[in-house]
Amino acid sequence: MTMRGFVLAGLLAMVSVGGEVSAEEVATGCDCGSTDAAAPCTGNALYVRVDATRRGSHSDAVFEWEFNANGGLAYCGQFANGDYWIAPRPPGKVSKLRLYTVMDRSAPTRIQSWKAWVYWTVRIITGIIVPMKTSCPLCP
Amino acid sequence: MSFTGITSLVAAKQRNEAQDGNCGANAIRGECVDAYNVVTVLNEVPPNAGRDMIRPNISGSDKKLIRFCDLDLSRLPQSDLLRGTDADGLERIRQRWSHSTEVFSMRNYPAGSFSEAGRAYRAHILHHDYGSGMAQAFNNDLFALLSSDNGIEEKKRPWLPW
Repeated sequence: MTMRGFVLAGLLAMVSVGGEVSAEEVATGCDCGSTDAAAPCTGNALYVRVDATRRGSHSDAVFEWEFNANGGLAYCGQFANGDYWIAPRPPGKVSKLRLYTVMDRSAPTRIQSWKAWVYWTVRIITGIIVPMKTSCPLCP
Repeated sequence: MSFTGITSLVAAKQRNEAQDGNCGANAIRGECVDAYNVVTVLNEVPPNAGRDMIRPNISGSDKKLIRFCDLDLSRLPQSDLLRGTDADGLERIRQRWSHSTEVFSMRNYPAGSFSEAGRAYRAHILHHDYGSGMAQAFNNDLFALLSSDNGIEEKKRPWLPW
């Protein structure tokens, strides 16, 4: 086995030992995938990203919702078309719903991606000979 | 904020015109929407946790929760003259219309009209800004859904892994 193979095997072993997720953790969040009305998903936040598919549109739209049911988790899930629903966990109503939409600053826009690709390509190529001293002005 | 009954919450993301450009006409500069997202507040958990249910209408107070089993989808025409699409294409159709609304222009008296007959309110990262472009997308997507290239089950749930 090569050195690269050893490193890969070690990483896989670490993941297989330390990366286990409990059933309880899997079952949380509005994307848990439950189709059981008696045991629906629970959560207090939604993250929805809409890809900019039209030519000339550069920024994806990101919607973030926060909500709770009397301070706790609410029931939530998705309709067949992918849109979310939320419902109260008895007793009480869904309350204190807070909404905000944001641009996802961690994901470069398409123009930024293109420029960042050029930047990093140049940097990788030239970095071997002449390390660039400036930080990337485009990357978050 | 508390809710009773079934409530539709519609969020719109305004276009960042400084970064992404305007949406086709100077008349609607500063008024453009990029996309919408709808969250529905229900009284209780729906059957099958909503996975076989169509999102209720966003407008009006009478919101019907319709399931696939309420519809006879086999009555939809399936034509081999129309071109279908693949799973990615069906997913694009789903996303395109899931994040769109058709809101008409509003009039702000005495300032004048707003949105130029709804043009500013189209989802500009998903649709052409002009009405004919959106109509073309609607027709193409509808024809794809009426094609016999794809089965009913495939069309019902293009994106869900179940």
